[in-house]
Amino acid sequence: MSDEFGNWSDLARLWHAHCATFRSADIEKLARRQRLQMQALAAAEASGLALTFIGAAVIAMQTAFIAMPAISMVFFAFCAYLQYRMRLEPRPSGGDNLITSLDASIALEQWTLAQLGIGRAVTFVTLAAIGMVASDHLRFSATTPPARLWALLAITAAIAAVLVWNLVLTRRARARMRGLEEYSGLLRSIPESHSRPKPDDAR
Amino acid sequence: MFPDAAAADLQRLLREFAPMCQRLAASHEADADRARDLAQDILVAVWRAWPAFRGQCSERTYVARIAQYRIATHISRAVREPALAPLTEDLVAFGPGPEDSAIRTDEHARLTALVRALPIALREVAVLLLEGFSAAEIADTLGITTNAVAIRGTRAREALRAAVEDFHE
Repeated sequence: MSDEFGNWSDLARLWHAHCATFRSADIEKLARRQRLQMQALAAAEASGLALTFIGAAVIAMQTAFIAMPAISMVFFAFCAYLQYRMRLEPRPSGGDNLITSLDASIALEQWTLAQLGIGRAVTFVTLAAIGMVASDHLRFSATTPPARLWALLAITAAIAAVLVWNLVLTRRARARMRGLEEYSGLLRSIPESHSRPKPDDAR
Repeated sequence: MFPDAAAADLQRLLREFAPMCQRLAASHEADADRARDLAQDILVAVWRAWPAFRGQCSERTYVARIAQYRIATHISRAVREPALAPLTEDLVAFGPGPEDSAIRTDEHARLTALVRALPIALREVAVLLLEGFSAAEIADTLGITTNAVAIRGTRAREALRAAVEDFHE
């Protein structure tokens, strides 16, 4: 019981009146589920990239349209590298004090946003390169073999999908970062007012 | 399956710290089901981080640090979600008799709601004071100075006591 700032004993007694219990089986199940979710997400991202990489290779072999699959293969390899780096970066466990852990989390989100920004820039450069490579085929589409046009469409769609996923991740990372910054700011500030809390105000 | 040592750690964590984790979660999350989920999430995080504990602080402080961090990430996500469900009073208290138990449960639920209504800077200090942490332990858990703990502790206590008196009147 801490009475350093006045008498908390009566409030603390009431506070400790509640005693919840948890089953270890439930905690183990939750831990297993969280790990599986993370593994499933990483596997889905990795297999998505692997599939598009293989797809680009198959297109290159079947249409002899070397330049575009080569560009996209380099692009997907680079995406896989960025993704690997982002997954490897350790997340704070919270074992340090709260403000330090929040600062570490904010720094991690900033780093993640920077990686996603690089990924986005590379995506636009790749799309521009594909546009240049494919411009002749598009200009003379009547004489271009259909296989090449399909290859162009498939690879562009795959890269656009990567761009959309990048934007989704960026949006989520920004929201997380804003929330953490807001919380950290509230924790650092000392409210001036002595307003009385009401149960109805509780969030 | 988890190794025996990990399972033993979990049993001990549940025995010693689960009630504190539940109370900390309930002091930030109004919805009873979500508060329970948050407490479970905290316990998983503590269990996962337990092998990294090297006696850098007391066990209780270590658990409180992880709990507060999980709560902070939970709130920072929840801020952008729709309003939460109203407080329910199905929290269980283990008191001497059913009537006394019901009164204490109701009062406990009220106190939790009042704590939840405090500004975050005061709330974080108030819950740890209620848990019985010393000023030095709170400073160590939150990363603020003991002077700041003293100021916030005094203000939180004034605000809570006034609200509790209002309730009794």
